[in-house]
Amino acid sequence: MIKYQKSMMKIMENVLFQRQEKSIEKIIQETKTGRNSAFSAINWLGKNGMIKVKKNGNQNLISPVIDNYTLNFKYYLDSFAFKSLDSFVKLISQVFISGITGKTKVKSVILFGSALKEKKFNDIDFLLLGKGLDTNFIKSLSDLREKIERVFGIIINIHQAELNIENIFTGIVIYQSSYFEIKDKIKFQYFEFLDWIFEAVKNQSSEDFQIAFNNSVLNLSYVYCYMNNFNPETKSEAVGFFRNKYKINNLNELKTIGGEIGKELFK
Amino acid sequence: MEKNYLNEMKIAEEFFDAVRKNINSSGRTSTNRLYFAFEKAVISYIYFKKRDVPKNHQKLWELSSELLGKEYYSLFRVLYDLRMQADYGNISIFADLNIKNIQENLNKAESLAKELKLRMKDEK
Repeated sequence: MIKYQKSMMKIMENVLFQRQEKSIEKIIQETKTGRNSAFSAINWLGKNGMIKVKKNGNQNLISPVIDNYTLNFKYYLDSFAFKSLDSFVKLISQVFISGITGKTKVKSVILFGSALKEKKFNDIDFLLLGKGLDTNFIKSLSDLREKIERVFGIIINIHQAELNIENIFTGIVIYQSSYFEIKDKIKFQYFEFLDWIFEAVKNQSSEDFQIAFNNSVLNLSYVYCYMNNFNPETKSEAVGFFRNKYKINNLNELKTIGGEIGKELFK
Repeated sequence: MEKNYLNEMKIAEEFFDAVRKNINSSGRTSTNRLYFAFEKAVISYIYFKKRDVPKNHQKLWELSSELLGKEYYSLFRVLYDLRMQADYGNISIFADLNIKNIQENLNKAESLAKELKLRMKDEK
């Protein structure tokens, strides 16, 4: 068991995210840690290569060691930061990530910008990090972007840059190429719903609209049934169970309910 | 309401003028104005139809698609991508920011704005 965990966590967070050399006194002040535990924690972190401790006259200056092991600490804190976000941002991020998973050029995705900081935001910014993320690659994401924008009514800004330490710290890391694609039967149905509702959105004045609309209602009905531990035996049973709860008369209402259910599913 | 839609179209025309004047000297300025020129033209039609104008860009594009057709949504999307690149740099590179592309999209936007004026004349 590692000692001084609480102080160590606070100090690592402070040192890693600000990435500047600072005195122990300043760190103690900023992290509001007790002097004894802070000194002990800094001693341990320095001895084990998590931070650098440099003598400067009478005081010690602390700076972070940036390597893959200390970066894991950032990813760990990012996962808490992500899970604490607005449920709509979490939904959109995970739908976006589902379209990125498997694209080997993308090594990391960073969420940054107003969606992280403000309650009201007009767009969501994703920074893709990797090699060879050229215009053609970005253009290959246009369908994914349009699906999210038109179903959920939010603008998606896609940025791209090299994978390096500086860029990793632009915001919250929400995806790494080593991530597993975890899709249970409920999420599978939800992604099917998204595909069909997107078809409905694109074909509003076509005769294909009703088929797409009905299929999207059906998929969303299964999502709702499974989320409520109900296993329907037939399609009509699934739709009936869903329609008992939601009265949907048009595409906009379906988008709204789909968003609400998605927020609960991806929270 | 009548005054509103006429004002909006007048502003759209001023912006289109600014796009043409700046297209060779500053692609970024003309790209920025081009988005707002088209937006003003569409807002003019929304006022004309006595509908509420959405404050959110995406909802405005969606309403344009509902009232006017898919090509309005598509053009809005391209113009917004170009504007983001013009204003913020390496972002939304779904469309290439160059003079040829700006000119092509200016032609499309002016053509659709012209169509809007005809619609308003016919539907009056």
